Amino acid sequence: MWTFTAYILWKLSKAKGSNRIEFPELTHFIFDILWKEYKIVLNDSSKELEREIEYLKELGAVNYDGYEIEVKEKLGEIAQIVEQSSLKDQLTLYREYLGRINQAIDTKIKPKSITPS
Amino acid sequence: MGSPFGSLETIYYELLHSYESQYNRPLSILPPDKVDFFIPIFGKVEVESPLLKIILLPLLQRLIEIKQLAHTYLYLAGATHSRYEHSLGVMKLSSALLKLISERLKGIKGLNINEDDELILSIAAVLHDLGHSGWGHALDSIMGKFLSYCQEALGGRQFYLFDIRKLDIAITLYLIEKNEQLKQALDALAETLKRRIPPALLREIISIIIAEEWDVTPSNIGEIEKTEQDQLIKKIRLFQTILGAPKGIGGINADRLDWLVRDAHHTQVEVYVPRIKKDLESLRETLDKILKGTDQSLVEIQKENKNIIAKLSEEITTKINSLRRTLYREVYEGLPRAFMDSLLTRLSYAALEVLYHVGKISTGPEVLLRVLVSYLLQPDAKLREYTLNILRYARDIGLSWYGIEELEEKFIKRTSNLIDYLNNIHIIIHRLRTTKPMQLLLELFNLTIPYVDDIIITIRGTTKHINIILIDCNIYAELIKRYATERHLHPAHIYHELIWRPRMDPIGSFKTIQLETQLRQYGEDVYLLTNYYAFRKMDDTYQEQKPKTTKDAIKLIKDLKQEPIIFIIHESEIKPTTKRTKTIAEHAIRYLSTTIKDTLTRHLRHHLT
Repeated sequence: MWTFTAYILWKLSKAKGSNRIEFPELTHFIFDILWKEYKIVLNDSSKELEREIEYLKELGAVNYDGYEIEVKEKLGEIAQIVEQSSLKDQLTLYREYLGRINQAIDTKIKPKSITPS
Repeated sequence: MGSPFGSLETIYYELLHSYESQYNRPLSILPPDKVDFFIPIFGKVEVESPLLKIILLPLLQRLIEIKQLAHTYLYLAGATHSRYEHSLGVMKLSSALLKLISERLKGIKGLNINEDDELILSIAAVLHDLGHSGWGHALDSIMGKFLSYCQEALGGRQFYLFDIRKLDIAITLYLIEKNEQLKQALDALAETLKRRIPPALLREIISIIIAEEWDVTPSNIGEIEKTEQDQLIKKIRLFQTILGAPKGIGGINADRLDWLVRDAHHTQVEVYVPRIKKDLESLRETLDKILKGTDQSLVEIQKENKNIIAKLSEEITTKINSLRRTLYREVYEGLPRAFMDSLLTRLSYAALEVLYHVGKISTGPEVLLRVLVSYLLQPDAKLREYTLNILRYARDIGLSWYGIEELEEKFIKRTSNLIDYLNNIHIIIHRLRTTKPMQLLLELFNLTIPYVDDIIITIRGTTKHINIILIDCNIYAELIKRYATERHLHPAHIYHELIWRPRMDPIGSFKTIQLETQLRQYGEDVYLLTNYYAFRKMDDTYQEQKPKTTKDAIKLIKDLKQEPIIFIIHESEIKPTTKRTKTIAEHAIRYLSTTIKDTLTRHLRHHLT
């Protein structure tokens, strides 16, 4: 889900205090932390995830050189759409999606120090 | 203290009993050593004892009563084949594919395919549709609501939150992990494997293969020798590409190969679309060669990083894609199917809401979850019976006792009136199939809106006339365009709020009951059905095309043309006049415009602050 990927990237960059995120850091967060510990399945494969990053690049929201993702201000717009969605008032499930992502970031991400296991 | 009414509780406990007594109580199956099944197209399917213990479980036998194509048989009379037949087909095909490539796999270091692997792939194949609910894919639309209830009931992180596209997979994985009969059978099977695989790990392996989650490693992998762990991951991924086609990776997709030829066979699509005859014959020949193991060149084995991926040749894949498009257009899609599924969506959405609230005050969360799953697992005919009974009882009593709010209660009670439409579905479907919609010009909006005029049905002995107004993608795109273009919205606004949100919750997103209440001021009954499938199609198309501008995102919706997003049923005792239909259509368009505007304005408001 590319809009969620945008939201995750934005939140990760804020938590890290850096606008640069390496692709393996992101896959580690999505597949090892979110999937295994927080039980939230948003992507099936890192290739699918990479396609979403490429799309965000085409939208001018990130730069991506095949390894490092540079988060741009425009990504914040998409993150805000996800954060302010009407679904928040509509479905428990949506609040839970965001809640688990936020919790995982708050608990697992230290400024400038996420390391793939 | 029990409820003063009782009947809804009776249904609730009946559903619990149905699940517990049929599917969950410990069971000992002593099958013969070998059974030969016979299925159309593939012929004999030989199954030996360990696997029979899974296939003969009531939970899997349930698939005999789930029609692969739901109500399509109403007009394609041959389409009565079951998910059971399909599951056996996928199992046979997956197994044949693995055999076909096994010689070549021997040359790959660290990948020793053995009998255990064949068994594991066969289990995953035969279980891949285990969690499929009745009524085909109509209930995919309630995934968002269903998972919300699971979350509200259980709290915490007690279950996986899947992408909403995967209702059947979410239920399959729940059953593999929690269902006592299946767990017992899988655990016993783990004991028979030549290599030691702990039962919990075996269940995880099967789940990951079915879910096609590529980058995920089983959390119990530490239970086996370190030297075997890499090999296991490779095998899981290879099997994913045989049984399915993980996103971003691709694969043979035995599942799709089977439903393509099977659905084509049972619907006889080549009779009314003769141009696909050649491609279909060619695909059948290919499958025949795979089953006989005569042509190894049909399957390509690709190495990518450390992974082994199985794919069909480009030429076959092109034919498959073309056939798939034809089947979608001629069999799976169209006005009658969209109407039927939208009706079933609303009925089951309301029934599930009642069950959830009854359960919340009657039992603990684990039991509540089993009851909801039991409802979804009911075979087609039973699902209809339960849904109708739940809504009939709910119609006659006050629901606030169950903690159901006023607006929800109104929605449920009005939905119960739609039972009469289900009872008349043959007539409605055939009219929709044979009538070309008329066009109504709404000068006020400079829009032309299609509608189907004067379908006559009988509701509880009284003749009723209904008109069905179709708000289609063309109109939806036009309304979005009018609001979005001058406001410099981001494509993500369009995608997240106007495509993905209705896909996640089609009924809640358009505040169905509010519009119906407003429309009732015209003194006649009006019902609104949201077509989940249209939003799914928009979503899939969006993911394929990845538009870079808002204009392109809107065009993508417009290109879906006559695919309805909302059906407005207008019911009256005399033939409705065009003027009345026009008034209702104008009101609905105004309402939809406001909904779109409110949704998008919400973001702009937040953005500005």
